[in-house]
Amino acid sequence: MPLESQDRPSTPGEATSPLLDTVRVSIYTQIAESGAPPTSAEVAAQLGVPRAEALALFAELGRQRSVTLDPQTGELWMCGPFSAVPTRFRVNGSRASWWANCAWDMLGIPAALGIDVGVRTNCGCCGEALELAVDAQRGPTMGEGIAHFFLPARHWYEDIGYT
Amino acid sequence: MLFFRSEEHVTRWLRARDGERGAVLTLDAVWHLARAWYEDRRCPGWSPRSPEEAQAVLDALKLPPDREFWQMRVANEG
Repeated sequence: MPLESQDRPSTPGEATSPLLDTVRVSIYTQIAESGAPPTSAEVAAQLGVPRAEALALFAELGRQRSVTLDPQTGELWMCGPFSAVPTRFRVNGSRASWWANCAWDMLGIPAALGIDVGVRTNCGCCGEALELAVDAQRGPTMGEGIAHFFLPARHWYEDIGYT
Repeated sequence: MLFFRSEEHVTRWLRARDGERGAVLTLDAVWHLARAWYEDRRCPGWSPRSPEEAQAVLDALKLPPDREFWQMRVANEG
């Protein structure tokens, strides 16, 4: 999955504006509670601004690489560790469920939320269903498997969707 | 990255695609990486890590199989 095209050079590590930070935290709060990120229309309604302005805020978060956007629509696609679209990594909590972007992120979700979860995924080779139980403090307590990282770390910032 | 039942399944999957082996991490190692990377993601004021900050996270975890795989920059890139 390619990273969306960037019109301007990204600068990870830069300070963010208060408005952008508020929007980012709000996005994560909605994901945590509902399982999915908000659309630009929803954010626009929350802020009382035109949808184009919400899309511009998404674009700025994307430029910072706080999130990854759908290159066709400009809507939120990946808000690490969460995915806006179904994947092979399903994470189930007691109040909501989430899609994770990858094997790393399926454990990133309980880490980010600080809650116990169950994970349902499958073997990348044979497709056999694999289930994990993850304790918020101790990590995986049930289930087995290993993760394979394709790309060395030096390429992560080039293509975040294919690591 | 994908998740596999075992090393044997990683090898089989790579062979079927003539793929190059990257790095394999145990479930426990992935958990430590995930926690270090994501536990502050929802905090106000969080911003994406610079390559140097990301490197510090990776270095602290001492991930296998080799240091070079987990380097954000290769030596000759300056």
